[in-house]
Amino acid sequence: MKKISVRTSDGQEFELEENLAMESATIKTSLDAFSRDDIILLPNVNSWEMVKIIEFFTKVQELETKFGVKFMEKKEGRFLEAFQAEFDKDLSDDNLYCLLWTVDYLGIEVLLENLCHLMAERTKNKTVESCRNLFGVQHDYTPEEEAEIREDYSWAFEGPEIEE
Amino acid sequence: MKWKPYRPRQRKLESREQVDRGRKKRQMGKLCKLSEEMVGQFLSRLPPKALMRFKCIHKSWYNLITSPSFIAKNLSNSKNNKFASTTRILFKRTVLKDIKDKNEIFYVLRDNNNDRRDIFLSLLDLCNDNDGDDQNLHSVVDDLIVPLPFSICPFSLQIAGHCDGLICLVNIVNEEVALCNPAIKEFKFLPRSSLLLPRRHPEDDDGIESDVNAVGFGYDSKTQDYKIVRVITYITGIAYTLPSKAEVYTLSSHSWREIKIDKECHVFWTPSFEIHFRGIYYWSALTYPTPGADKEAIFAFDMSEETFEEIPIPDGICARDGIIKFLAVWKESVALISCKGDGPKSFDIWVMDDSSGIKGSWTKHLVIGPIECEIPLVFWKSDELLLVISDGRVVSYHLGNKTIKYLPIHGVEDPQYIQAVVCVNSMISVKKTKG
Repeated sequence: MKKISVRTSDGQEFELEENLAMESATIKTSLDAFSRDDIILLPNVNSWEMVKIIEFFTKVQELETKFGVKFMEKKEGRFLEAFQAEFDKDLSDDNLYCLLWTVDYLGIEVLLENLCHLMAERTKNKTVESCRNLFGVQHDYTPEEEAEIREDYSWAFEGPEIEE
Repeated sequence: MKWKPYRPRQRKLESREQVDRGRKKRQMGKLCKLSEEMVGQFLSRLPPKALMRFKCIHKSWYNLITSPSFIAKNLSNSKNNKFASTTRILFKRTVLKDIKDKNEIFYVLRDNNNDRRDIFLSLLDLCNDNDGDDQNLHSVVDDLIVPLPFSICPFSLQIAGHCDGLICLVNIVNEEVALCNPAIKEFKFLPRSSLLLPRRHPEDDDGIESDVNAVGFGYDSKTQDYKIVRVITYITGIAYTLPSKAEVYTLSSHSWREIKIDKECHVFWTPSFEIHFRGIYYWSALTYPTPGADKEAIFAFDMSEETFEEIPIPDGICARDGIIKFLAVWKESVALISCKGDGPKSFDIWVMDDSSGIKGSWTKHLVIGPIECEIPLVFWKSDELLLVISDGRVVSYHLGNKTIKYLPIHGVEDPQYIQAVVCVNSMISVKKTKG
């Protein structure tokens, strides 16, 4: 299997299996345009992110062999649960946000779906303020406008599951 | 706060969290800002409660969350969620208030005391994988009280149908119909239609009285609209029956419209019978193949074509012979479940074969039981059936290993007044949009 070399923004080089590299639409486009022997520069990707991406595909292969099902093709609950638990334990909210951006930039569909789901799980019980902070969104409602929404849907703001 | 030496001193003071986050993102060497499409992708996977709350985050998020394309994407994710480990079930049940001991239950029910009882729509999320030894299925129960006078008594309130997170409720006594989306806590009464006549005076022999015979709710995939169908019968003082009429209410128009009905059938309510599946609504009915003779059958309505049809049922399944029948959706088909009488029941499961286009061809697939139960409710997985047992508790029966597990809910009325449907979360609004 041919190896593709990539260099991340902090100068680290990685050798990827060709089929893994081709999962990224961005890398694939690069490969189609240039020689496969050149190192592909990824100025928008950090080395820790590359490590995580490689970890994802390694994990997928492991689980596919263990459970005998193709990843994401069949709704195999235990498979996805095992995967999510493993992948998400060392990832902070901010790192997840950045990783989501990077995977979108690289165009890796299958990982994107998983990360979106993970992000949804992480944020579903967040307050409005903490979600604004995570997404770097500025406040654009007037206090009266926001109060109106909070009153109309007060039940959505209450509940033991909502994090402080 | 610890400052790095190169940090410009005239910078506006940020909170620790913002500094940390900013520092992390600058270390990455890029500015991470998710595109609107990415934000939409992740938002569409959130549950309705979070989405309602996040409308507050930014006006662009509000516009995104309320847009029809987002609502459709959110529904699609709900229905085809590969990551879902739970199934959502909605129950209609009666719950009593301020009960100090069991003896009080009898008196409250006997005296029909509405102050002491509520009808709840209760939402549960059952874990799909429950192979463990635990005898109980656990879930948070999210209750929505059905407002009076709509819920005047448990028998009078029925779930007439459900689809894509929307529930249609009917009150048999006052003929009111309501649409609700329990996930976003929306509830709307439908307007009264002109086909319903005012109450006839008892002395007025020539006067005509209307009676709602059947109500159904479903989805028309051609017009992509949610519809409620209603069949109304008319009788005069001397019990002479006039031809029935039918009408349809669409969510897009928020109004009733009369439609043709050329079949004379009499729908009779049977617990756990009425279902909507793939654009067709099914009721239990008496048909009249020849004058004077009646035959039990299924009466069906096609939501797209807006036509009615009679579907025969297997021979020998007659209420007259003490056989009770239920309809269910099982393994992607319409299934008829029949059983006999009191005590432990064996259920025969017949599946309707519609591959050849001929409706009314049934194949017996399975016999389950005997199980000590009152009525079946719904298949929430192809191998697990929810049942009500004699003390009003709801259990899940596993067809394979024949075990039961208890759900954390029960109803206090006659078990046949408990209804359950498998539903999904959606953001679909039942209210008229402004402007």
